[in-house]
Amino acid sequence: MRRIQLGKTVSIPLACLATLPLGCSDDALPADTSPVLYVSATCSWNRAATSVAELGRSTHVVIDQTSRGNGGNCAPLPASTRVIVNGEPLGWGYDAETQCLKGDQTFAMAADGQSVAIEVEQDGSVIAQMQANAMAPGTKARLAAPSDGIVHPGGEILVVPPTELPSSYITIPGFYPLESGTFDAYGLNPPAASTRLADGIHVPVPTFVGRAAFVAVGTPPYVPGLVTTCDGFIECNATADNMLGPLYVTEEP
Amino acid sequence: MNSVRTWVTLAALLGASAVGCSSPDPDPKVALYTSVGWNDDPGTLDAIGYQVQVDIGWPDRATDCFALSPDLNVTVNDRAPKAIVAEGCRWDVLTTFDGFLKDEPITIQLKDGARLLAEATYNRPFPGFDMQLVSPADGTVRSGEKVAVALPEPTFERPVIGAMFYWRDPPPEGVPPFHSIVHTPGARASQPIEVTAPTLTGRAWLVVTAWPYSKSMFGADASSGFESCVITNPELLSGPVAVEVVP
Repeated sequence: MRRIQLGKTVSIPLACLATLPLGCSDDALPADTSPVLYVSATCSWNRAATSVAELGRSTHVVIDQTSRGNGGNCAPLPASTRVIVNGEPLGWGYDAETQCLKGDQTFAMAADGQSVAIEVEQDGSVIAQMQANAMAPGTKARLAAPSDGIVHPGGEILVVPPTELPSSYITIPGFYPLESGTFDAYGLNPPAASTRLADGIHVPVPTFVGRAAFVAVGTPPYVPGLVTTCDGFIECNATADNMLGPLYVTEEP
Repeated sequence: MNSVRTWVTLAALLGASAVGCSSPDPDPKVALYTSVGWNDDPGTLDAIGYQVQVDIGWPDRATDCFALSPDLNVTVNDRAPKAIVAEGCRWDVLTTFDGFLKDEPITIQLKDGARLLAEATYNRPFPGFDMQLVSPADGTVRSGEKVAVALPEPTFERPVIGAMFYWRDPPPEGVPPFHSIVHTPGARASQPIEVTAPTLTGRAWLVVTAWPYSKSMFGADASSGFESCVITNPELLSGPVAVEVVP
């Protein structure tokens, strides 16, 4: 769910409070020089993978700054400014025209990763932070049948989707052989359409050898992430991955 | 609601939302924006139906960042109250109430603990209930045969996109409910809409969708304590009506 979080407010220095009766107007307050920052995080299954090793989820983080007037230009930020995503630095630069901060980078997610934490630091202090959870609800999908994960060509698997994701219609189901075969970024398609019934999603199994990871997308495709913290940013957005899985099966002749 | 919905933000509405609300000049001023829509992908059977999304905001908090009571809560009709937690300087909080399946008024109450701060009532928040079952009269239809429904006389011609059967029978434990889509080629909203019952069987809520998508905005029928309050509801979806698909 899109959330709007207001920027930092101007605090009144204690010294100013002491002189209020003498006319401590807003004009006497220091200007708010904190940067006006927007941030978004979008989690998705890596459709650009070129090998089994690159399969998994990643989160794309975009951070942008806008000016506080000043003709649309931003004041330079301290050299100590750092953007940290789940403990890793995000490379950023300045827009050539506005001199506003801009940066975007993709970060790999752990297999069971659900959270994204973004911090902006200046001089060692955190001036803005965002926390988003439930970014990969599809990891809660489970394989109901076969219970041992052993499949055969022409058989099917039964997938119980999580309640957090739409599952009435499944698109782009794919089996990624992990041990053999030519790698395809979209995996092997089932030989027939999947069927959603009361007990879950029935997916026909294609022919492959050995172990494979199964994933699928439910529709509609957009799933909001859960932004639990948005401090110091003017706006925080999070989009969760809508992919079900991965679930692991092993095909035997 | 799981589908993408275009949200008109509370901020954008404030200027035009004084319709139908009294202004007792509470301090701090609080505004209400309510949106009603069908829950496209409910996670549980109880969540099937219309959703009421209640956005409560304190516009002055955008600049003043004043403290709010930790005991604020909101409820709709007899639903369990939900806490209002506006972290940091957030000036509005969105809460969602699921599973409205009756053509009934809704009353939204904002409370501080048990003390009522503001409330608003909308007499007809779910216009989709205007859809009527035409045949079979008892709603029992064989798989592959037709069920007919009728929409109220539309103000303009609208093509019908399709129909959806939201299955009502309890699924196995831990499995979310689902729905089946049935296309209705050539159907128009100005005439009875015939829908072919799917191959699956069981009890279902039948809803129909028709273009164009638009939203209607209304003021509250009665209110107190809110500086402004409006409700929007989509004209896209009509229903539900109860049916049972049998072999």
